Amino acid sequence: MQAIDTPSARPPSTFYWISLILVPVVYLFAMAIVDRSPQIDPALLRPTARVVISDSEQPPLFRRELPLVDLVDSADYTPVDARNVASVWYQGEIDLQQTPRDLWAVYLPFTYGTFAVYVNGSLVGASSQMTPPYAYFRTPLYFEFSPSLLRPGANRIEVHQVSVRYAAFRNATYVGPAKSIQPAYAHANFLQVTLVHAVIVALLVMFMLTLGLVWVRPAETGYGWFSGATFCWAVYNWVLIEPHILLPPAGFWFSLPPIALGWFTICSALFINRMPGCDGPQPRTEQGFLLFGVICTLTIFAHRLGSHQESWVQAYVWLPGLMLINAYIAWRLLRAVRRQPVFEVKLWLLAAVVTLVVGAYDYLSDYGIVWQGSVHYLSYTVSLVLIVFGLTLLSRVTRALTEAETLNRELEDRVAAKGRELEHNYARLQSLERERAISAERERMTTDMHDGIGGQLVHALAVIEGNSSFQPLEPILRGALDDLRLIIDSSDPVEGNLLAVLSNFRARNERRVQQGGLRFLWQVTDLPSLPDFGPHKILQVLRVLQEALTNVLKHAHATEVTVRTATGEDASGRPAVLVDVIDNGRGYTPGRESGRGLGNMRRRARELDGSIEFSSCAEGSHVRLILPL
Amino acid sequence: MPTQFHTVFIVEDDDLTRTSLVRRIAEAQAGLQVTTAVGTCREIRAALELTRPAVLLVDLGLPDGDGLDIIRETARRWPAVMIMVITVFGDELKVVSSIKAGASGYLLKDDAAVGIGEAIRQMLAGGSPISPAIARHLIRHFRPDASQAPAPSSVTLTPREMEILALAAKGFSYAETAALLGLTSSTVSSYTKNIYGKLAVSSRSEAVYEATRMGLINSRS
Repeated sequence: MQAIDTPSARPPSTFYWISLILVPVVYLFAMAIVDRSPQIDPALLRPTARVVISDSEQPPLFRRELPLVDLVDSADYTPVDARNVASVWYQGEIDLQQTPRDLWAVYLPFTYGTFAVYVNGSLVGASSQMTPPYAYFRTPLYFEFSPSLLRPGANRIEVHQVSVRYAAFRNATYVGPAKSIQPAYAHANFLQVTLVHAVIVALLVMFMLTLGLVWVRPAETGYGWFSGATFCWAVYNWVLIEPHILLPPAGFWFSLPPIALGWFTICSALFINRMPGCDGPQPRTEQGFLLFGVICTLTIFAHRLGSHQESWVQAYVWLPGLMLINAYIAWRLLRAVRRQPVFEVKLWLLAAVVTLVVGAYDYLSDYGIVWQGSVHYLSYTVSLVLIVFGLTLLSRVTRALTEAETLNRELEDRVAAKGRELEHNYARLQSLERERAISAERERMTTDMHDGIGGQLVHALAVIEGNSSFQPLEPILRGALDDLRLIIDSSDPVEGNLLAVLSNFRARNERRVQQGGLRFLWQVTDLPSLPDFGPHKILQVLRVLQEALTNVLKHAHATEVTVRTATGEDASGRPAVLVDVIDNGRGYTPGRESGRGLGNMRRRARELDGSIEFSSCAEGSHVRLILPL
Repeated sequence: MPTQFHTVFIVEDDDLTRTSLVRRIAEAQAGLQVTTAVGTCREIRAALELTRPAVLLVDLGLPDGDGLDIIRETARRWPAVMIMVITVFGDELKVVSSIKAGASGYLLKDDAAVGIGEAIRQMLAGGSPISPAIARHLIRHFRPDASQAPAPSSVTLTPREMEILALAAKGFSYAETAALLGLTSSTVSSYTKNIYGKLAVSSRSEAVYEATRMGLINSRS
């Protein structure tokens, strides 16, 4: 996996450093624009209510004597009972001239805890069960109700909030015709619930994909940590918007968000360290992170299971520790980018900076220092970052696969080429082997002839040398010796090289031609290789030429004999090699060529799958042997 | 009539052939004098120990040994002696192995007096005969296939020498080759002799290489 590619190895440009500052700002603006919900008629806002602290499960006595309190979106500390539950009733009133006809609705855009809404004493809706244990979540709430519940004059609108936290949010409340309020709710619900659900699904898919990858390739530990981070972040978001306690006991469920957030951070650090382009694992530091995580997790769980209060470990050890780990991640990424600016690492650093800025913004907005949107932006940002990370990781994997495929293909090509080469070598070896066998056989044969027949023929020639009565034997013995040479020459493996055969022929006959008082003219060219040109065919060619030359020497009364080669066509138009034996003698009359062995030559030419042509005139005769290719 | 005679030794086991050769060499009137004509390795070795001829004619199949050994010994001990192998067929195998052993030419046993005289004279003048089959063999020897192991010897032919071999392999005579290359016939002939010398050197170093290689293998096993 290491350094499969380094798409951009150039140091980061100034533009990159500037974009590190600009992108988070632009991003925040974009978030704020998306967050702007459709305006609701301000007349429908019920900004004040009377606050009654009561753990009654039914609307308590309506107490008009209490002062009206502003319901801004702010946390106020509400006393909790022994179960750590704050139960608050907000009592509001609206005056109507007459009973409306349309559907009406109550809308609480920003909630923390469990809510129920009553109109004139009738329950119109609740976020979840109003009995312990109470879930702890954050969604917009919207309940429609029949206008028949309303009557002319004063109408009681009561909101019951129970919260397991010591802090309860006082919520702005809208009451009015459903059609005026619903668009704003739809927008807020989309952002805070639908979108978050979609993101959780996406995160879980990413988690499964990366986990699958690690399962297939356990060596990719970086992907394993990424998978863990994705899962923790999904859990964190899920618990925050889930109106029910899905995994009791409640103490465990309520501890999940901070624990998941923490492990998300630790997993991210370990994942970043293992990514190509980064500096690699730091075992000591990482062991420290893991130990810190395990100890804090156990402490927080143990505390929360036995107490309704948040552990001080969470507030003063866990969360600050996580911030340090975050800083560590940013430092590692910055180092990596400065040292080896791979495109992906640059992207990740950008993402980390955006996350930091958005986190800081959320923190400041929680305290009202900057404008507060309807949601925490960090939740979306981290999800987005994780999905982007996941996609870059998957693209990396697909790139690696593509690369592997390319390599495979190249390898296959190389193997095929090697195979061909081997085949070629094998064929060559075989032909060498064959050649060697032929050559050995030929050697054996020539040795036999040399020491046997050849020597005996030479001996016989020596015997008759000084004895005139044996002279007629001499041409016979020489003929036999010549024939033996022909046979030996024909066994020379020439691999279709006719010129080699012709040159042997010339070398054998040069002296004879000279002794006959003729000039041997040699007009040969390089010739294409003849197919299937074995010893038998070679012998036939040699015999035809020998015959033609003998005719010239015996009958032509010539002064020159020319051997000439060319390429051309035979009678049927096939490409062929042409061998001419031409003399400048007196020629012969066609039909009276008996004794010249022309029939023999024709037969041999046919055996060669070729043909032979004879022509003669006063300027000489011409034999043409035609051998098809 | 040449005034200076070159001495010739012959080793040939067939009595009649030997006698015939002696007669033909005399007939050739090429300034050659056969001073020793014997039929065995032992005899020729003894004769060579006493005195060295200008030319040594060697038959390969001798009753008490291999003519190649005689060639090899003579070439090593008395490099000035010109050695020719006597063959019935002038076939490439026998001639090439003789050249590798140190011969610089070959004779056909049944060649006429003129041919024999010319061949010996050519050699004494610093040339060597060649046949197309021998030329092809030499081309193969000196231009090994690229896929084969690199030649153990560093002996290579010059482009001109390769050219001469190529023309000889196509059947051109020395005179024709000389005309084609703008040389004289005797120059071409002496090029050939030089090539034969290189073949002998390269086959000696090949033998050394081969021995070393086998020695290495033996020492490892």
